[in-house]
Amino acid sequence: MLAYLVRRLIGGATVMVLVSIFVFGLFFVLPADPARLACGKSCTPELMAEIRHTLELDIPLPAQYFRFVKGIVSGRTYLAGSEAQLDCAAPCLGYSYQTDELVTNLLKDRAPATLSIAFGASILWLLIGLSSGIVSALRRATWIDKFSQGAALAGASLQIYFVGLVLQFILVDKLGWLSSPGYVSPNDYPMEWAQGMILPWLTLGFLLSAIYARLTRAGMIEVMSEDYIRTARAKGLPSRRVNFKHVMRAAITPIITVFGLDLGQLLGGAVITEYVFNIPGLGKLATEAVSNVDLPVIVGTVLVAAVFIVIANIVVDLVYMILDPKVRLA
Amino acid sequence: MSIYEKASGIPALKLIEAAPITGRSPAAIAWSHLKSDRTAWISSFFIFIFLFIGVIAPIFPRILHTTPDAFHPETLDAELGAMPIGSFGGISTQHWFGVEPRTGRDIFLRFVFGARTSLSIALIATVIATVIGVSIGLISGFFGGKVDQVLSRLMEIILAFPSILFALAITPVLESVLTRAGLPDGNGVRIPVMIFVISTFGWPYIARIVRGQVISLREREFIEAARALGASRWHLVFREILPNLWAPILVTVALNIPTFITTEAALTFLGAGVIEPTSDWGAMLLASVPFYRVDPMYTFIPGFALFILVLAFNLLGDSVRDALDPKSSR
Amino acid sequence: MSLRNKFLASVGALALGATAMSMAPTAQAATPASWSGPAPAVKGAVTGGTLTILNQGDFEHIDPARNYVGGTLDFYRFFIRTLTQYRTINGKTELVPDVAADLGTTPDNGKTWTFKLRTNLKYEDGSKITCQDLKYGTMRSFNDEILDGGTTYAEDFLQNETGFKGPYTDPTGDLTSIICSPKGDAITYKLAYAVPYFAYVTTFGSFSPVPKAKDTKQNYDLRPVSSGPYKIESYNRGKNMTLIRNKNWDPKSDPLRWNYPDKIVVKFGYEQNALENMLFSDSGEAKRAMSLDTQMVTNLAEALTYSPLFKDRLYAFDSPYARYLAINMDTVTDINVRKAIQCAVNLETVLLAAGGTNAGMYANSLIPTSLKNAYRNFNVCGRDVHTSPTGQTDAAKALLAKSPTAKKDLILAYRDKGTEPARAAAVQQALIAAGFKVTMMKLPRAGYYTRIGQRDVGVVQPDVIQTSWGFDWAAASGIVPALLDGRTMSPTDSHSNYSRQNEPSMQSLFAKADMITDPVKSDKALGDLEQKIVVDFAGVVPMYIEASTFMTGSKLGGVQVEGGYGTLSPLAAFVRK
Repeated sequence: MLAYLVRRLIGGATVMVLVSIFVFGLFFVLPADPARLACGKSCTPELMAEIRHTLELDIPLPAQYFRFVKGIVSGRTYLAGSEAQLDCAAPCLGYSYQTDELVTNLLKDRAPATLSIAFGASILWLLIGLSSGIVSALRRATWIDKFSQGAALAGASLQIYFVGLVLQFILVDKLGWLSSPGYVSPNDYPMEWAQGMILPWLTLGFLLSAIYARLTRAGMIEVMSEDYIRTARAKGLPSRRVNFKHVMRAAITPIITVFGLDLGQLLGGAVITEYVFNIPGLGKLATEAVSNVDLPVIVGTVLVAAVFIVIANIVVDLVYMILDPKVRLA
Repeated sequence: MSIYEKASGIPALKLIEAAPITGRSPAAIAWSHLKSDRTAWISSFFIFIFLFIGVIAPIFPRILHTTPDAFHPETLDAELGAMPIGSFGGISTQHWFGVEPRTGRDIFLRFVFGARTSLSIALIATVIATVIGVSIGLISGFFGGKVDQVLSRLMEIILAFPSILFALAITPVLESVLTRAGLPDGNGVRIPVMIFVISTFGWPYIARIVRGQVISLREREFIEAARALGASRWHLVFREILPNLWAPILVTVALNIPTFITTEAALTFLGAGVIEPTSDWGAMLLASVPFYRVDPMYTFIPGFALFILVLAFNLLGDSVRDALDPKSSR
Repeated sequence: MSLRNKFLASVGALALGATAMSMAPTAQAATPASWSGPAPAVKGAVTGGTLTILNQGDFEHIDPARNYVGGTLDFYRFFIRTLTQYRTINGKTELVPDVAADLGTTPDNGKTWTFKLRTNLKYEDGSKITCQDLKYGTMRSFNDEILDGGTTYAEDFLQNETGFKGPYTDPTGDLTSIICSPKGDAITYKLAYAVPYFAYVTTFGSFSPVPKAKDTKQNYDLRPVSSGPYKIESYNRGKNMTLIRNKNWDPKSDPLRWNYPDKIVVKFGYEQNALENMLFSDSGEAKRAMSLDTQMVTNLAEALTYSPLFKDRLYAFDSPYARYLAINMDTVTDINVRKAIQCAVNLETVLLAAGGTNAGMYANSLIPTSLKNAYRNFNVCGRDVHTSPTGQTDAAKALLAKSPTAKKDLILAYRDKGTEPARAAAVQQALIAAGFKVTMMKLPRAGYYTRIGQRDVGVVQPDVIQTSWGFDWAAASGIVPALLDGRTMSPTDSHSNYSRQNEPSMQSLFAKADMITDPVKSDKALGDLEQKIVVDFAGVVPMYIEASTFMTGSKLGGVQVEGGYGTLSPLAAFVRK
């Protein structure tokens, strides 16, 4: 088990290194010139040289990458020894000239909003998805099943950028049942935080629950037809116990896989949700950085999102192993 | 390619992975299954309608005596924020779906020409991703060993990229490269870039499934027999294995098309897609956001159309899968 | 009469931007009453309460040497005084002395300027504001690498033969072109060349007093020493700022500032839509709030539809922004083609794409009509654009027929922001109708102005550029030289002369205009120059002068349009009980 974990971690780290080289190379080699982009309207050759020096673009690219990695591991200092010395503690993901902020700080500022979305939405989609999937599987071909199947199919075919606007139009603007979506710190204003999050949670929860409802239903139906379940029933075990102990346990494994991967993706930034509802999270930071061509921030957000996906993959595999003894031997 | 936060089509895709399809079902059985499936017929009908409208789009400007790009200032109220005159976004006998706020462009024409743009980008990307995914999946699965390791790691890296975010970020970069290489700026660059980005992130999903199927076929008797007869590797791969894989490939493609369509719309919605005045569903949705409260019809039309089309593809994909794999249950 | 005009007429307190801006004569015989404090009481004003300002973004800079943003230039007057400043009362804006006691005198037609100073002005800690502090405030603004941002006027205009680089890099150096009188009651500036509009330039923060002992260099941006009616109690960048009363400010010494609220709280980090909705629905803290950076955009149509409900808190006014197309004269060399572009562009569809008549009014010139001495009401493409704004497609085709071999494939550059893509599409359609082929060049927000100014060989050059200009001060000298003077260009950068206008016959006229020190004559000369470039050389296509629409909470009073900055100003605001 430990050996497996170590192997997976090394594998994950390798993927991250390759991703980082790729992203770094792509964004720092290809576009016109990061210094020119950062230089702005009243750009002079002197200012440009200064920016190049500040961003350490005046050294060879492999050396730039090495410093970047070193910054992540042990921090780095820009313009060491000068008046404007800037310390960037580990994990240092670079410095955004355009916003005059350390990328790590920008990510830290924006992470709570994304976490808030992921937190509430994931609970909601699990609850809705699992319960409607279970009910569907147990009451196959009844109207409940048909309804929840239909809802799941609709949910799987709808888009956040459409449903979000429709729900906002109906629930916020016309009926006034919910307050406008937005983010405030839950430490300062817990009530306002929840109010502002309800709409994103509902939208994301409804749309993503579709996947879980379908997965749960299919998984349970498949397991229920297995011999050992039939045996358990034949033995006269109460059906509730059979359903929840045996069926659920077997059917939950693929759901955990999908849940882990979805959550991993979401934690890296709910790009569309944040864009539609104007939530200042990591995804919004990334879209802002893209429209401002703020390269250090783009690299930072892509890398952080990739880390979440890689970690989610590892965690999913570990949980899988614990739940399913057959996998452990592999 | 998974759309961040939500992956239409992917749910079914994941089900396939849980219950792999065996490529043995004779085509005739599958076809008879499909023929008797009402859902398949209805969804095919809707898909056909959308494709048909896209194909015959150029005749509509002749019927309506205007073009999708023509401004109609007379349909707007200059003193009220340049909103359409009349109810439901200015729907009239001349403008069947109303007019766009602030420009007065005909929404019906923009809708049908948008279908052309959106669907052709998605379909071309599907073809490219399928060709790449099937080839790499075949090679990776058949040759195994080092080749498989390298290719699998490549897929893993691509799957670790936060795809939407990365696609969003890389679009301007690729554009600047292509523009510097002498290509004209504008849609001549943007459309190829979108196709490239969507297919780049889409093929690993197909490759993974094909690879799994190949591995299960590789050691079967008829392959052994062919091998014993001295058939070359390429003959084995393309003449013996590939023909046995058309069923899973078909299902994968059917379920990937809606994902590609929504990815295209999402990218355009986030601002990385086609530019004015070319019409596109994602661009229409994006343009409608500021007005959704005052002119909800404008948001509703492209959003609802996208929903219907994706739903139809999802239903058809399910039907095709059911027909090819009688074991899976609906 | 448009709805907006009807609406404006019904709300007496509203002013149309800088319409009433009066020019200050260079020298005054008697001191006008408007030069001395206190500022007249605002009608119905109540003292006390907390004024809240809700903004999307933090102020870029509040260090006076670094601030160059309209809304902030207006707002920071709560705690920053400058040599001269704008005073707006009942919709009338005029230039008045602030730290100075007059608007300056010049013995040599604008090369040397001497301002008398008010005595007995104090900082928040009770210490005296001196002439040396004023000089130091200008000197520190020379340290660009540490104090980035801000205007470069002081560096551009002041004589600097010794190459002084600012007190941080050059602690023993001195800027000898600023001289304090022995008694410290007057300050003299020696300029490198004649600048007739210098008293406007001194409204900027690099002409404000900074006590050398309290200068914290780049950290001064977080806590500048107050000389105005409020001082900073706390400031958390990106989050909030609290201002409380400054007891050492004397209203009698100040002709242009008020201090009704006890406290002013500024909060940052709102999103456009959310903030707009809060102000629109007048909910919660938005009742006692306004925003400096949030116009009604998405709610505009709704707000206007029900405008009678909102008339006490809806403000519509002309901004200082002229929206126009610059025709690249480097690449579009044929005069007939340029004139054809001018004829083809349909201002009606462009203004509709911007939001209709509430978004602005048609313009024939880059100079707003409010600058009465400079503005010329000439025809563009033979028609008065105010009454016939539509494109003159036939005239454009006829012009193109005159130059059959000239290039008719155009690249149109625009920025991916707000209504700009829709406006670009309107321009494109009009050009296509006249027989042009148009390729769209959508550019990201950041770096837009850098990109469109690039003249480097090998860089794809746009032929038509959608851009805008907001004047730094209300005179033609704040517009025409910056946008149309070919002498400002370098081989690689057009600077803000995006048309790359470089006609030899124009350059001598610009040189002549430089020599005029009388502001009225200068306005006239530059107005004539602009007319020539628009009509004879077709270097630009003026489209419209932008209007702004803001909303405030229902419990705020005294909010007014500041003509000097084209913003909605909280300076005279009070909070109703």
